[in-house]
Amino acid sequence: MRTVIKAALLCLLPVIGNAHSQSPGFEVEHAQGSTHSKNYLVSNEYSFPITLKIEVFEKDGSEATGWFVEKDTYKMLPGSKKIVSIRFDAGTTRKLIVCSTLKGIGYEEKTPPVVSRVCSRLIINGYGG
Amino acid sequence: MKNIVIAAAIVATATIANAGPKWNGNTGNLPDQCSFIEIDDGSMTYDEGSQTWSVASPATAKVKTRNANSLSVSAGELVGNNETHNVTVNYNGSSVTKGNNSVSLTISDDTITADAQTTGTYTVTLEGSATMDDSETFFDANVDYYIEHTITCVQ
Repeated sequence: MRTVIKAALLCLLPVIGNAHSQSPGFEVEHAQGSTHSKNYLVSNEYSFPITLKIEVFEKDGSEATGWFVEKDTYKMLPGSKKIVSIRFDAGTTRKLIVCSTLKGIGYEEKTPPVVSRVCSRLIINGYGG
Repeated sequence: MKNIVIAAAIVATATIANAGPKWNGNTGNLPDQCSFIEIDDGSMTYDEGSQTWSVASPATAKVKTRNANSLSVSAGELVGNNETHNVTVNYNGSSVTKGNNSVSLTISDDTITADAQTTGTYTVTLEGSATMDDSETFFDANVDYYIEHTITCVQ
């Protein structure tokens, strides 16, 4: 069942044939409960392995709290894609920036001097208003 | 009279040329996008007298965007030899281009904000210098260091 859901998600989400990307972009969602889950597709189209870290910021750029991801760091082979499922506290309306940040290059996870960070804006209209 | 006939013939020919069948298309509902296509490290040299690192070859990145909200660059610390040092980065001379056109950008010492809201491929070129914050810093010879730059594209 899980595989079917993943396959369906991969079909729904746009396939982007570039180096480091993340989708979807800006979205506005309505929470149906006190927490809200959202999936992001991150991809590595570089010709080498990379390590991406998932980060969430408030609209003003400060680090956000009230979010949970099972794994915040993903080692990705060239050409691979991963679905990242993030759960947000959604009691009130939130304006967030969800980012995947390049933290390592190659199998040895060498720190990249130039770091790419792709972010998606997300507004969650809170369950409690 | 002859001229009128020739003119009429030219108009008629042009009309016929435009009346051919076409393939009409539409790109459809494409999503907002930020995609890093390419990243290349630059290099810098150190002048001990002024305690300043100067860019010898710029770091570059190419980013494809559609309806991007913002594109910005921020500088990190000097890293190497299992230590970090605070530096004051100045991005003077840096540029962002879209094709052959320069993009409007704001350089505020260690941050760059570019106007990258129109669809296209942007090339970020990072020039500048970095001065050691601690004037007491004294390096070993022939040790590698780097200054990290984070390029953030918000979609």
